[in-house]
Amino acid sequence: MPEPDLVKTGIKGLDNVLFGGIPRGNIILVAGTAGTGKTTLGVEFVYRGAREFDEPGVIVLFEVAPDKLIRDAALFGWDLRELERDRRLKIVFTTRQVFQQELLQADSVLLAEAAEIGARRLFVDGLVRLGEPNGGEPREAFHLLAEGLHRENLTAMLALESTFADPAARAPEEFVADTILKLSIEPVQRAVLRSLEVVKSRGHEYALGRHSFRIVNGQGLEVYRRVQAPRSLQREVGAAFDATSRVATGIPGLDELVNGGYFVASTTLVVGISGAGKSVMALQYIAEGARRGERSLMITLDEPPAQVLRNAQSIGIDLQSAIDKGLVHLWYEPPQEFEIDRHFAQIEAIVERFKPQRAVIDSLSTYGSSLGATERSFRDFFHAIVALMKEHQITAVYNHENPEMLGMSSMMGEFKVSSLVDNIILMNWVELGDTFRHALTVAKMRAMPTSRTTHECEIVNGQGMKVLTRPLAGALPVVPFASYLGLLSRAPERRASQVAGEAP
Amino acid sequence: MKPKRMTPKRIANLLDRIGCVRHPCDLDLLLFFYRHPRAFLISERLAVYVGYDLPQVTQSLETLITAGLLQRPKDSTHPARLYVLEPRTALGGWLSLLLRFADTREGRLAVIHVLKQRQSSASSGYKSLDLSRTLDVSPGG
Repeated sequence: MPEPDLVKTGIKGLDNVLFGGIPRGNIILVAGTAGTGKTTLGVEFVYRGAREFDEPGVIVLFEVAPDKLIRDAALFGWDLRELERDRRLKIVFTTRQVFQQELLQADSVLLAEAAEIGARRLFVDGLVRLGEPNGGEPREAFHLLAEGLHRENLTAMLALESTFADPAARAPEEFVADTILKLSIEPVQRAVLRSLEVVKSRGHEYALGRHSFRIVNGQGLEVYRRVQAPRSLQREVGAAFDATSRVATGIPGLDELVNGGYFVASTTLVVGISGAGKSVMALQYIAEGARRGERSLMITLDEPPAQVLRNAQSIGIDLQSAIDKGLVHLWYEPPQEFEIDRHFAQIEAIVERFKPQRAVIDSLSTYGSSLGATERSFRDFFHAIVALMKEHQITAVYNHENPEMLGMSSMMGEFKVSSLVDNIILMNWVELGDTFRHALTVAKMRAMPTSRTTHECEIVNGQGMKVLTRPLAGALPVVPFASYLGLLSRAPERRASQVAGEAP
Repeated sequence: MKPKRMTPKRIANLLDRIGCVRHPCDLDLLLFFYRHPRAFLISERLAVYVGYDLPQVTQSLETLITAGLLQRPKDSTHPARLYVLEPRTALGGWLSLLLRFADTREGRLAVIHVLKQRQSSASSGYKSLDLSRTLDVSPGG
C-alpha cells in the first residue's frame, strides 16, 4: 500500500498526535468556542508551511484586521510581513458571502491569488455555519465550498466558530470535512486546561482522545500527546531485558537482600510514611550511580533543588558536584496545577536527551494527590512512565508515601498500581521502648527469591542509611503453619501443645 | 529619537507631496487598505466599512487607483474586486509617513481637519491654516 502524502503541520507535538501529519488535500475543520486557539493554530499551520516546508500559503480573514493578525503573530516570533514580502504568504481580507460565492466560480479570483504564489496551504479564519445562497442546506453549502478547495489541491484549514451548547449535536460541516480538530478549554479546579481532540481524519491513523496543549509566547502551540495514549508496541518490544546484570542500590547491606542489586530496567517501589528514609535511599541510589560514572535522573516534586542538595549534603553526598560533571540531572516541577500530558512530554524529552541509566521519582504519591485516585489517570500515567523507563533500559526507583505510621494494611493505599512494579521495599517504623526505629522489608522481588524478613536500618548524620546486619532481637524460629491458630485473622497464636513441646 | 512635531503646515506639505489625497474619504480608504492591504470586497461593503456614500467611495477609489496607490484588476466580471495597496510606489515613503501618522485617532482628525480647510479654501478663496494645533509624529518615511 502506498504511503499517504502527509502534510506536516510543523506545530510542536501535533504531528506526533497525527502520526506524521494530515493527508494532502484534506479539508481540516478546526472547531472550538471563542478563545480556544483556533486562529493561532491556523496561522501557525500556514506560517510553518511557508517557513519550514517551502509550502506558500494564504490566510483569509473576515473579521480580524490583517494588521492585528500580523501584530499578534509577531508575539510568537512569526514575521508574516517578511513572508508576504518574499511572496510566500498572502493575507486576504474579505466577507463570508464573497468567499462563499467566490469558491463556486470556475475563475475564482481568490484561488487565482493563491495559485500566483504557488500556495499549498490555506487558512480561513472565522467561518460560521454557512447559508446556502438559494436557501438550501448548510451541509450542501459546505460541500460546495469543500469541492472548490479540493479542485485546487489545497490543504485547507477552516476555523469554525462553535458553541458546543449541545455536545451531542454535530455541525453539518463536520460530516463533510475530512479532518476535524476540536479545541476546548476545560475548567480544572480553579485553573483551565486547553485540549485538542482529533475527532476524525480521513486517510491515515492518529492518536485518539483529548491531548493537552499550551499557547507559548515566543513560540506558538505546543501539543502534548495524551499520556494514556498507547505508544507503539515496537518501542516496548525493542527493550532488551538482561537477566544477569544488577544495579547496585547504594545502601550498605541492601544489595545482599536483593541478590546483588536491582535488575537493569526494573521498577522498584519504596513505600513508607514520611520520614521513614525513602528520600535518603533515593539520594544514595543516585550517588552510587555517580560514583560508578552512570547518569542518573532525579525527578523531585515535593522539594525544590536547593533543598534536595542540602539534604544530600547532610548525609555526605556532594550532589552538586555530580550535577556539574553531567552525571546527575535534577529536575524539579512543583505539583500545583499539574498538566500531566505536558509533564510526561517533558520527562520523555529529558530521557531522550540525557539518556539516564538510573532514575528516581520522589514521590509517586504527589502524582496521586494531583491526579486523584478514583479515575484511571494516575494508573495510566504510571503505566506510561514505567513503559518509558523500560524502553530506555533505565532502572527506576519510585518513592511512595504510605500514610500508615506503624505497620501497613496495604502497600499503595488507594492507588492500586503495585502489580505494575517489579520490586517493593517497605520502610516501616518499629516502636521499641520509647523509640521509633527504622525497619526495611523486601516485600516483592520479581524473578528473584526474597526472604521477606524485616531488617533494622539506621540513618546516620553525615553518612546516610545502612541496613544492619544483625538479626532483629527475638526473631521467631521457623515452624510450620500447622503450629499456629488464626493465621488468616492476621493475629496468629502458637498452639499450646507446640510451644510446650519446644526444647528450652 | 524624539518624534518630530506634526504641524498642520507639515501635514499640508505631506499632502502636497502625495498629491492625490484631497477628500477625507480618500484618506479613510487609504487607512482601511493600510490595515487590510489585500481586500476582496464589493464596493457597497467597502462603503459601509469606511462610512461614506457609494458615489464618493467610487470616486475616491478611482482617484487612488489612478495615482497608483491602489491596484484593482481591470477585467474582472466578479461583483467583488480585489484591492491591493501598492506601497512600493515612488510615494511610498511619504505615504507611509502619512498613514502612520493618521493611524491614530488624533492624527486622522488632524489630517481631515487640514483636508476640510483646503476644501473650504478652494470653495471660498484663500484661507490661512490654523497653525496653533500641533501633534507628535515618529520620524522616518
